[in-house]
Amino acid sequence: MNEFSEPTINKDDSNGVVSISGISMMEDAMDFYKPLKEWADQYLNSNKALVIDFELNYFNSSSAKQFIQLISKLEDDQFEGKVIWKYPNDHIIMYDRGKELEAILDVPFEFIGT
Amino acid sequence: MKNLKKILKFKRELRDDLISLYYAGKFSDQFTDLMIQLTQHEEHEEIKNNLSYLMVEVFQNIVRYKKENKQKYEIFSLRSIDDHLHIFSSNVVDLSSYSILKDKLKDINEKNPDDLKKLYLEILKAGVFGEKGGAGLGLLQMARRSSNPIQYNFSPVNEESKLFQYQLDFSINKGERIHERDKVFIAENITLLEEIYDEDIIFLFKGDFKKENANAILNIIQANTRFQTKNKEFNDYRVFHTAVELIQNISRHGKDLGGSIEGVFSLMRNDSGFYLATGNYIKNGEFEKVEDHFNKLNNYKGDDLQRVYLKTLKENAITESNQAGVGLIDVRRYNLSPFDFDIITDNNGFYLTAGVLIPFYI
Repeated sequence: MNEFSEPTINKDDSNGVVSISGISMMEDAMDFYKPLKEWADQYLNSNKALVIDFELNYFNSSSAKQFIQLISKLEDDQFEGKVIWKYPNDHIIMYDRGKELEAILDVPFEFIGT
Repeated sequence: MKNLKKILKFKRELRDDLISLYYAGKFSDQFTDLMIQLTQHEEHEEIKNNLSYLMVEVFQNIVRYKKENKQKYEIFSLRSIDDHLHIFSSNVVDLSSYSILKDKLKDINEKNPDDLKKLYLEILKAGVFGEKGGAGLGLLQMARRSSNPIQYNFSPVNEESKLFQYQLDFSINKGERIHERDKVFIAENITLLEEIYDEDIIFLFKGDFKKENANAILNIIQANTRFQTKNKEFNDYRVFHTAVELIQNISRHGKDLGGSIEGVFSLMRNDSGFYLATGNYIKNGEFEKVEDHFNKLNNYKGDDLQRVYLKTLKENAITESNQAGVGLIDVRRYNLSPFDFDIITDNNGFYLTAGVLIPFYI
């Protein structure tokens, strides 16, 4: 039943885009996101810009923590990059929850209703 | 606190159960796999196939024969106590089904295993199936695969229908007949399960809170808490999110009792909203921390909650662990209602029950 709790992650090295979509509510979010955070570190070793593209219907609080850890890598002045936060148009909470992450982090957010 | 007391009461009633599953929600085939998931346990390994078979049969019977409108006491339950499993079903049937079922059950219970097998083969050969797939054959197979008589009870509902309740009892040792003195009589189960029903409980599970079970519970909650109000998305979200955070709290903080983290989760629905409640043992020495955390949470006012949520999330993001430490703050800010909580002690240590009302209208 992992498809119920884990999002789909796509990493595009050539364009510098990583996308996280679906539902993120696993109990061990730290283990799940560890490879992605390591990939981001490695990618940023030789690249300046990274776009993190979220398209989620739901995430739990331990996923929120992992998102902050991932996005905060872009807070370093030597990097450019942004977060694209896609949310279902009728789902105001997913928009709000993106806005909350934006408030915590010093990284540009772009919001797109879908 | 009234709702929380109910959970404590049923926890006591179910204290000898390795697994208790009670379900009075929507009945459709999508739930059968989830019910089976929740009853998987290494103790049931030897009779795993029979268990799944019987659960599917019983659950699908309710789905197949249920009336269009929801009827009182439509219940499915499984209890695993000591070496025995008890699958219970309760649903309303019309009088014609009643007279057929009554005769069939009487007949089946009078037969020994050899006769049951003979009858089974005869029916197969003759190809006599009832309109809805052959109630007789289904019951016959239940008796054969459980290796025990089927306990049943009919009680009046109105002039056109009866409440039909039956129970399959079987041992974790394949084929073993349960001794009279070890029986859970259907009358006891009816009293308990109807009492749970009368408390507006839709779903109650006691058992292991491993990941697969947590996901199964969440699937069940999600399907049974759809709002029809104008803030549908928001309300659906609140219930689901509350359930996720409460359940994951059990798996993270619950005390390991010999290889598994035992917990109770229940969903109630009453006039004011959905009420979610959990119960679990907490680790030794966490009593004060837990009590303090809940008291703090309950003392925050509306605007504080938003501020505290963001502050805590940011601060805790630096630490390396799965816990964001904001789960319950987050739940509290969406539901506004304070948490009910209570900590009692018994032989296994400190037992925490916690519950929260998710009001229909905010």
